[in-house]
Amino acid sequence: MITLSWAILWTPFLTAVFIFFFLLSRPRAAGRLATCGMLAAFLCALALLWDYLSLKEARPVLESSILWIPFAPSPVEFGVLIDGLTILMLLIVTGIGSLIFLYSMSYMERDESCGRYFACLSLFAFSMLGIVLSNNFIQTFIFWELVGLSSYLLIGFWFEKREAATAGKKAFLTTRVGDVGMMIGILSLFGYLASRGIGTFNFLLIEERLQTISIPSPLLYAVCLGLFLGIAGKSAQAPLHVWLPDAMEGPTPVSALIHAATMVAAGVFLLARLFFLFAQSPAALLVIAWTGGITAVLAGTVAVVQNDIKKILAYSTLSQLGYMVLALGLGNPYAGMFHLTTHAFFKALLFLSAGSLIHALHTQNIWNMRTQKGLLRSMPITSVTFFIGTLALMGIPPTSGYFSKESILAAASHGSPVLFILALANVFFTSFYMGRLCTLVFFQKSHSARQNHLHTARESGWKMTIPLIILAGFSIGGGFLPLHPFLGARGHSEPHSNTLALISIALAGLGFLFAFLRYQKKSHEHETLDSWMTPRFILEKKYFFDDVYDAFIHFVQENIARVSDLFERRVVVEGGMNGSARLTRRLSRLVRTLQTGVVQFYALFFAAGVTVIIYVLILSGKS
Amino acid sequence: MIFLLTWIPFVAAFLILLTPSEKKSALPIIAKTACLLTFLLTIGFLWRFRPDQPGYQFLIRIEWFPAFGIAYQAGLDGINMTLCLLHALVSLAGVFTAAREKKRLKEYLFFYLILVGAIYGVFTCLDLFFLYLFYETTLIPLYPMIGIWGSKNKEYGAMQLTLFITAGAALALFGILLLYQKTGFGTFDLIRITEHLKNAPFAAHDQNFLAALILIGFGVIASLWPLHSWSPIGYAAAPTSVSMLHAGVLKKMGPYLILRIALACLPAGMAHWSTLLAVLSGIGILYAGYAAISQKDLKFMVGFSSVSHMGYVLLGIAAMTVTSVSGAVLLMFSHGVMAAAMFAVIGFIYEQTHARGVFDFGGLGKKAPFISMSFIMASLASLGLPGFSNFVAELLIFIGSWEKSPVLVGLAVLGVLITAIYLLRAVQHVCYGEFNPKWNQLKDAVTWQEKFPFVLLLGALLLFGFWPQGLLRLIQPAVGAMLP
Amino acid sequence: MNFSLLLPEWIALGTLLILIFREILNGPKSRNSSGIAILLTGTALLLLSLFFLRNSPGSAFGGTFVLDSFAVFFKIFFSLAAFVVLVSSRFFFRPLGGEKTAEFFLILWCALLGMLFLVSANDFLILFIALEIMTLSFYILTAYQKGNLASIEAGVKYLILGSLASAFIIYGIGLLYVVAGSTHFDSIQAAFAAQPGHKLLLLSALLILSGLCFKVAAVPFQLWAPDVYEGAPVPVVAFLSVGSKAAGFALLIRLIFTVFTPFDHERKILFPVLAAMTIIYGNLGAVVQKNIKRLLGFSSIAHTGYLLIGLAAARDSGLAALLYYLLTYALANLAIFFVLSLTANELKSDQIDAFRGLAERSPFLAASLFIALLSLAGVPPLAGFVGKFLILSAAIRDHLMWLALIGILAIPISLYYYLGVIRSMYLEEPVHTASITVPGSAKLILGLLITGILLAGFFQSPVFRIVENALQHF
Repeated sequence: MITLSWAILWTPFLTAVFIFFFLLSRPRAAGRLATCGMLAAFLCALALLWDYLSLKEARPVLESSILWIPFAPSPVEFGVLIDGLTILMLLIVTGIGSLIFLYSMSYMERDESCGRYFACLSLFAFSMLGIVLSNNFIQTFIFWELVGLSSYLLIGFWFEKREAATAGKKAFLTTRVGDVGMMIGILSLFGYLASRGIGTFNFLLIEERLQTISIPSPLLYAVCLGLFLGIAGKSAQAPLHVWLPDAMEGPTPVSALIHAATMVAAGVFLLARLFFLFAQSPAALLVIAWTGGITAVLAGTVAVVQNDIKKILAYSTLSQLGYMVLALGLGNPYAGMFHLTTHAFFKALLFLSAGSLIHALHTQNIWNMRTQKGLLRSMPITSVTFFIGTLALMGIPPTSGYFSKESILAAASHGSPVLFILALANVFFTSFYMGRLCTLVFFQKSHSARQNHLHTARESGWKMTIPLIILAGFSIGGGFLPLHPFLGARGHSEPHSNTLALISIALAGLGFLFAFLRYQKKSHEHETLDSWMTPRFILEKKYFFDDVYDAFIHFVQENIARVSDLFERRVVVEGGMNGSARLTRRLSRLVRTLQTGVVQFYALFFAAGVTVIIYVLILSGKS
Repeated sequence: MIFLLTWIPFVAAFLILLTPSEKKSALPIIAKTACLLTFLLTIGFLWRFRPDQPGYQFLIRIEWFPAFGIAYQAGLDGINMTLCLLHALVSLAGVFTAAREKKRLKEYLFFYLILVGAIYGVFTCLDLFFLYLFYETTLIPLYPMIGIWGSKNKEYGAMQLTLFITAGAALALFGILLLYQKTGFGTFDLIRITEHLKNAPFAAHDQNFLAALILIGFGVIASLWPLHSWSPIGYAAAPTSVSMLHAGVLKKMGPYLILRIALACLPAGMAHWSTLLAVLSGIGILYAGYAAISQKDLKFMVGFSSVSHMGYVLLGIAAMTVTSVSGAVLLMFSHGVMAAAMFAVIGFIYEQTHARGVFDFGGLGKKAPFISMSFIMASLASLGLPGFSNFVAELLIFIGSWEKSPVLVGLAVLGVLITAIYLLRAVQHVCYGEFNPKWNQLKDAVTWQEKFPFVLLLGALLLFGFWPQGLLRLIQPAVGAMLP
Repeated sequence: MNFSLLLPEWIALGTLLILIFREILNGPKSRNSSGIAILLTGTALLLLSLFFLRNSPGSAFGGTFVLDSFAVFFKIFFSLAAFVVLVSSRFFFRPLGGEKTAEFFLILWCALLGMLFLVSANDFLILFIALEIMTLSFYILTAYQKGNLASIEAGVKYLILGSLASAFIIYGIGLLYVVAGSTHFDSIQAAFAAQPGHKLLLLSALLILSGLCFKVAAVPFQLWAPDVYEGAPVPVVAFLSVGSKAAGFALLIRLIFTVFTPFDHERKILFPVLAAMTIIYGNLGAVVQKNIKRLLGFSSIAHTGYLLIGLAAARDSGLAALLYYLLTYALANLAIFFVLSLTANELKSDQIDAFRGLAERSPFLAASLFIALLSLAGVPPLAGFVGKFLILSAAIRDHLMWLALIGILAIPISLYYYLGVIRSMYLEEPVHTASITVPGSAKLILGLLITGILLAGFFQSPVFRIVENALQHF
């Protein structure tokens, strides 16, 4: 069991290093190696699942670690923790990962620096598996930052494009802001535990200790908020979400793997992993719930006005993440993790099919994706799978999305009423923007001449369509997967209430219908179609988050930097160093006045000196 | 055996002086063999070093000036073993850059080897007199090297650097003489003084005064906050290999000597000043970080960033716990290697383009992939990314000094973010974006001679990033023995 | 009264007479080389004789002339210094041609003779006569270049102020004679012992000391130094800054620690203040100097300050440090002035800018100037550092913390103006790039001086042993 998990962790790393050193110039071989590596990891995960299920006791937790820095008061270890949650995440990461690796083999075929792409992707897989398997805070933080690094490298993959480079930097710095909060949270927790004599970072040990000793609530609140800041940074929650839409500059498979299925889910996973800590501070949970709810609605509304297909999907990821965080905030990690699993499937599906659309139509703008004979006929598999994904996203019954969203809504119904209304409203918004997307892209036939080159859209190769089909299968069947053995320890699934199901299906259907009717008309100008929305300006400006942050950077940070540089140049260098030089120069000029060159003055000075000495030593009675 | 470390470079230096000027090609070979020999020797010492054995190893003692109890005594414990390794790495990498100097190569390599030998002297000596003697000897080659082979306003930079460090060293000399006088039994032998003071420490006010002198004296070269302004100016003016050696190794002599003299012999004095030192280093971190953001010149930026990183080292030392001081020593090692790599990259580009503005370049990633990759790796190491030993060191410093000054550690963690801001901005403007056609004659590092320094330095960072225990098993017992 | 004690003096007198006869016989057209040959053999014999006498102390002329290890040390010091100055003056005067160098050597030798007597004087009269022989020959030497106005001006200044100082000394001796009834050191000591609190004794001591302080250019009496150093010809400045200063300090040591011992309390008050003020004056004065000889004038004042610390501190550690410092100071100064005498005619001016780019024009001269200047600045591993180190540790051992601190803070300031010269040599481009040829013999002596600096810097204990047994039975 343990060696299997070590194997899963280190295989992608070895492939990444091997590609980096040898295969950078041979993209095809690199692609094949990376995909085989990922598949091997997936098989090991399955084997691990098999061994895990065959274990007898109810919910076994296995752990093994090696001492990385054996310092007396605070030994830092490097270990592996296997329990239901870990195996579920392993399966998701390696499963979807291998599908996306296969998909990107053909997607990135024409790109000559594809070797570097697969090296970074394997590095990402290694760091993501590191977070999933880690058994202590420090190791989580290490892989937390490595994930940030790989997302920086992958977003800025086409670094010739200035926007890609800026987006990469923005992503890294925003997540880094979160990491600062996380590090302070870890340090304060460790500081308190060390002062109580149990200086350790290990999750299980801390969980055990927390039963005996109680952490003072203000400190616990600070620790939880610190950790949540780190999670908000990585899972793009309200204050730190600005980087995710810009992260779409990266290749689409990257968006699918990192910015939809796995990396952004790492925050939610960590919330579930540390739920024993968060559960002790209801105040922190409330903050988490509210952040989740607000992010969901905020992203949902902004997605309505987006014109780039990937931006729409990015904002929808934001809002679904808001749902998961909301569920965890309301004290129901089961619902959160269930939605995380299903969301991973259908969001990856949506991104990949969007990718194959972009691959074929060479445009990301939904308004000019309309083809002569409509996409249904020219790209049947992609369109059908896209539909399945949309249905799952909206939460229509047979799909897995319905069950997981249902459990979250049920959990929300027990919470505060405002949050419940926000959740429901978001169901409507989700279905509306997906409806708008589908009608524009699939149901409208374009008859204007300028899109003539689009009529040649052909269905993508088998390497791209097979992952789509598999993911579509999971999107439908995902809801029926038996998640109890994995998530049993973390709460229970809500009892199924019919009234709630009816309301959510009605809202979803209404939203889709409304969008379909609105955007069905043949008129070309998209302003008229979008004109009905009065508060367009606020939504387009994405609630001014970007502007606030740019203003902050421009005024506060640049000015502080300018002040400190000015202080450096003026006070310290001028005043300090040159000042002391000028002082000595002035003193020496003073001394030079004595050197008049006139002999009589020298003689006078000589005699005066003698008299002073005699006076001091003799006459003033010193002797 | 250990005195060879100091004397091989000196002998090589005089050999270079004697080689007739027409055999120009022999000069780099002599210099490189000298540095390689010392590097292998250090590796040999590292290999035979037994961390569990307390006290100093490979100890030799030659009575030198009995009237004043001065003896040439050299030995290695965990701390100066690490710093010798750092110096071996940086000097070997530096000699490759130094050998590419065109103007008056003979004198340049002569001064370079004198500098290398003197630094080995500082790191191996255990006698206060010789420690100070080698510390000041490093000043002789520095002035002409920066003055003659430097770049922008080199005279000003050379003069500032030399005068500032001499002023600091003079104050420290006063402290050392007072220490020598106060111990009473008239010897400069550091080992005996430390033992004696461990069980018979000075009166409190004596310790405070002496510790203050040593802190200010060696704080200048350790770029403690108010005394730091010589280092960006000096590095910007210095030629590449000098700024590599200075930022990489010379800057670490300050905290090393503070550890060796102030922390080991005057613990009460250090405890007295520790809060002030922590606050000053905290200010240093943020102040230099923000100053680096507003810099337009790459070398100034790296100069300020090394001032900010030295703030972490001094913060670690101020906390005076085993974890934080070991973290400080590990950070001295890793920052040294990183700063050397960073300056090597900037120097490599500057040699060919004579431009080093942050916004002068663009898209070097395509044109010079190896160089831009080393630049990215060096900046990632600098901003404390896990996988490099800088992260482990900063982590230990944070853990170690948390309960002593949580607010300052919070500021230091914020400092890590600021480092990320200016470094990533530099990476973006230099390596990413459209290629600036002005530099299309820029060549990448192709021959193994050009690639070797970067591989050596970044490899060391990665090795000890994945396996920090390699160095920590040396450092920790030594620090444990030193701290009360 | 054994003659062997006075052997070195006889040899010196012998060479002097031979020189004078040669001068009379050959007249103006006498060739220089023979004069030099005589002088070199004279110095060689002198050194040989001193070598034999070094451990056979004794006194002659009824105790007024004493030869102890202290005197032997200084006599060797003076003859070596004179030897180096002679050789440098040969190189200095050769390109000029016009001046008659024979008289120059003759007067220089008189000064040396005066110094030899001065150090063994055990009686105030002998002391005064020897002092006057030395200072008078220096008056002539400083004004030697008749054509050069500055040299004459320097000579006149030195004459007037020097005679003022001698007046003070002779007045002091007179008072002493009135009280003690004799000029012999031992009887004066007896007189001191008889009436310890006698005001007149202290007054006379102070007068004599102030006269001597003029010789070594301590603060209230140092205004002459920069002007004379600037005007006088280079070899004379060399001998003045090394020989005359060392003679002054030898006298100060001998008087303070043998005759004026009861005034130890006043010494502890006076000398630290004098030392501090001299250091401050010398260093600050030198910072803005543009002329290298004036700069070296101020720097020699600064070094007097450090030497005075040796006098201010306790006897055992202070004196040894003083002598060591004097050795290192002499080595460095002789080297610098040797280089100056070699380049004086080439560069035609004493401005520091004239030294621009010397490193390219003649690397050997630039390197030796580089090492000598840094040794003066007290940068390890050169001799100057060890000198300063010993002096400062002596001060600290005697609890003169504030004095040591002033000495310490002056180091960076002194480094600034020494680096100023190095900057113009190494960092700036030469005005005209003709390279300066250095004759072989000059290279040899300069090489010896530089190795001396390096050896004294690194192998401190052998040199310290020499200094210690100089102070053995003193």
